[in-house]
Parts: sequence; structure tokens; C-alpha cells
Amino acid sequence: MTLRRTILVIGAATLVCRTAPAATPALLEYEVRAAESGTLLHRVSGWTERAADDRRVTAASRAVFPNGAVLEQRASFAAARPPAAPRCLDWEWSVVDAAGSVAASGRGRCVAAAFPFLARPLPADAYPSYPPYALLGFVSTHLGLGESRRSASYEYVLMDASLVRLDLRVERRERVEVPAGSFDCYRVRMRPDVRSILPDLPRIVAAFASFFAPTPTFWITAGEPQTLVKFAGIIGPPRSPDVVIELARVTPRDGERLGEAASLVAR
Amino acid sequence: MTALGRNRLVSAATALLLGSGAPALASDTSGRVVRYRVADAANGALLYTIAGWTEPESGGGGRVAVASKFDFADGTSYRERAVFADGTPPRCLSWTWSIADGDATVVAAGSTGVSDEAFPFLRGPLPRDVYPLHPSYALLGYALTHLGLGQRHEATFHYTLMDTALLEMELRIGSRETVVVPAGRYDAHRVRMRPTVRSLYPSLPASARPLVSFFVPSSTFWVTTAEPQTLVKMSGTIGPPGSPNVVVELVADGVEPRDRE
Repeated sequence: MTLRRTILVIGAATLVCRTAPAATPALLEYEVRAAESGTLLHRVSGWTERAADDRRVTAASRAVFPNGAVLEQRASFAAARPPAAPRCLDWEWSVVDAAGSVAASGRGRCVAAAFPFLARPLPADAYPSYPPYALLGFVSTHLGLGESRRSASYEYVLMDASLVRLDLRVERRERVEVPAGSFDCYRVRMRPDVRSILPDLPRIVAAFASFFAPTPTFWITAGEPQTLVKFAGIIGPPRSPDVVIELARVTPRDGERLGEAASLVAR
Repeated sequence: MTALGRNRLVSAATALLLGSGAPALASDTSGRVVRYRVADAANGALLYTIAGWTEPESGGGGRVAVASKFDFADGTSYRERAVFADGTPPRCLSWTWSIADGDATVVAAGSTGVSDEAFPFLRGPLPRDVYPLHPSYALLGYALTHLGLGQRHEATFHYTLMDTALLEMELRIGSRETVVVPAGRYDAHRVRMRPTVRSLYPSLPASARPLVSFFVPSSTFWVTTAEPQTLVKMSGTIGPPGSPNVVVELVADGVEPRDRE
């Protein structure tokens, strides 16, 4: 479908756990496969690190590609309790090739001055679109989505020059089977707000265009701390890969106790 | 529908620097600097200014570094530098950029070597005519004046979109006209630029493409007919959907002390 390939950066994969009541000490490992062929595209592992003062939590992830390239991302958020959206403070990422050389890197602070090309001030609930895994995957599991909150939205910065609003809606509660086990989940549909992309679009045309907009789906655990279990859809703009991301393993990190994450694995 | 005129596409068009291959290198030693003003298309308000120039680059092979600096009213500055190999189209080898706030504190920065490894999410190898999105100005502005437009009436190139996809842009020359900007009067080619429908909506049925193409926004820019080609004016959006609709005009083109930048 057409506009299917529009924008939106979903983020989906990384994920971690809730900042409140406690960050999960577990390492979450995902497999990212091409939706059509099932080919393994890369593996992602994600975790959180909480600052000593408990006021900042860092969502970190590491994606390993078959050619040996490694993408590492870190994004820090001000700790918040849902439904307040976590506020991004800063981010950094790097791509290292198989030989160990840094092929690309970036970093920034989530302040208005870092986005001088935007037509309006950076909203508090806006997130950089890159790196997608750490940033949006973390956010999606920290909005309090579930029985009591069926929908939410946030904005992300597209190519440092515009803001796109992404609407999230809980569709149903269902059981999901992934390599890591069987999980009781909420299925959430993501949809970009077409009028945030094309603000002058007539309402009727916007409604038509919405029909073609990409609507990736993700599943997050019903239990706390919420964790991304699965994602299906396009991560990125037109021509970005259509993928299926599944939680492959949950393991304690650095010998820490598995803690609340253990309850995630309802084998 | 001007509405859709707000769409996306990284038009680029703004930055830009000097002319082609050898002339550009010649300007390295001459200290040529081109300056632009970027105004809001709706109300004419000045958004920022751009200064662009080229620098000698080690490594030989006709390599040239294209640099630019954007100054915003609030004191924020944006700098970018990209290295190109000689050729048509010029091949981008690397780029860096940084943003500093009014206190000169760097609030964002990035660096990329243009290689397949730097874009692990892309499917397939990078085409030779690919230009990174960020910084879009120096890269695409430089590329636009190095595609031989005028000698040829159409051209295409790619740019990376959020590091996960490639968008193909098409350029088509329209009329030849005299353009008046603050820097003077120029004999220029008028060029329309927009993303290809097949690139934007790869799954769209071919029968629907004509309809959709009507809504695909385009930007217009003017480049000198004389060599080295220089961007004179640009009108449209610079960036993705929702980006400001701007008018970029050449305000100065001359030799300046390099240390001023």
C-alpha cells in the first residue's frame, strides 16, 4: 500500500522496562526478521540503566547485523510515572563496522536549540527519530497503555525539520507466542496523524490518506513492568524494511537478580 | 494544492556552494564565499542566513570539501562539512555537522563516512549518487550544481531518509529566465525538483501514480546558466512534511577572508 510507506519511526524494538516502580535489570534480546521472507536481519538487545539519584533512566540497545556492523544507541529520559510521557533528555548512537571502525555517529540534547529548523518550538513530548530503537521502543512501553488508558500519542522529529504526531491505540488483549515464551499482551496499533504531516490537507482528503498510512502493530505485556514482546510493520519512512520483531530471550544482566522480569516469562 | 506543497522531500537546495570540479577547487584559493538568506515564504520573515564555501581536501583525486554555516536569529549556528570525490555526479565520501546554541555550546553533532556499513538498515548497497540527508544543504546544494543541468534536461539522485530508506529525487529543467535576487541579476535555468512517486509509494498501483503525483510536492530552484553553476534561488520546502516553506536567495558571491568563517 501506498502511503503505507510514509513516515513514522516506530521504534519498537528496544525496550526496556518501566522506570517506575523499578527498572528491569534484565537484558532483553530480540530477533528482527524480514516480514516476507523471515530472514534474520539483525538482533537487538536492550536494557535500562538508572542513575543513582533515580531521576534519570537510560535506555540502551545494541543491534548486531550479519555483516558484523554494530549499532549502539543510548537515550536518557527524565523518570516519569504514566500517563506522563517520559521526557527525552539526550541521545547518542554509533555504528561500528566489522573491522571495529566507527562508520557513523551522532549525539544530541533534546532542547529547542538542537532543532533550529523546526517551524515551531520542540514540544515536551517530542522525541528524536534516531535512534529509533532506544527512544521510541522505550517510550511505547512507558505511556501506561492498557485497560485504563486505551490511547496515547506523541510527536517525533522527522529529519530534524518537522514534527509528526503518532497516535497509539490499544486494540485488544491477547496472548502472544514468541521465542521467549507466551505472554499476556495488549495489542497496540500505531498510526501517524496525516494532518501533522500535511497540515493543509483538506479533512476529507486526510481521511482518505489515513487509509493508506502505515499502521504498524506492537504487543506489550499486560503485566508490569511493561515490555515490548513483538512488533510487526515498517520501521522508518518509505522503502524501509517491513519487519517482525520478537522477544527471543530475557536474561539477568551482569549477574543481577532477574526480578520482575521473571514474571514476564509465562512459560 | 499548495497544501501538499508542504510535503516533504529534502529539497536541499539551499546551501550551496560553488561551481563544478576544477572551478570549485580554484575557488578554494580565491576564498570565494556564497551567501544566502532564507525567508519564510508566507510572510517574508528572515529565518536564517547561510554562508557556503569550498576547501582544499587532502587525498587527491579531485576531492573537495564543501562547508557551510547557518546563523539563526537566536544565536544558534549550524555547521556542516562534506567531502566529495570528483566526477559527475560527484560522489559524497563523508560528512560532519554540529549545532551550537547561543552560548556556543554544542547541542547536537554527527559524523558519517559514506559506506554500506554506515547504513546497516538499508536494503542493498548504496548507489553512487546518494547524498546524506543531514546535512542536506551543503550536500544536495553542491550536488545540484554539479549534475550538468543545462547540458541535460533531467537528472535524478538519491538521498538517505532517516538512515533506513532511500528516496529518489527527479530534477527537470523548465524555462531559462532572468532571476533578480539581492546579489544581482542572473541568467538561470529554472528546475523543478520532487521525489519520484515510485520512490515515495513503492506499493502504489501504477494506475494510481498519475493521481498521486498530482499531490507530490515540488520545489523550484534556479541555477546559473554560466559555469561554474551556482544556486541563485530556491522556493519550496527544505525537509520532510511539515517543514517550513521557504525562499532562499543569493545575497552575495565574492571573495572574503577565510578566517571570518
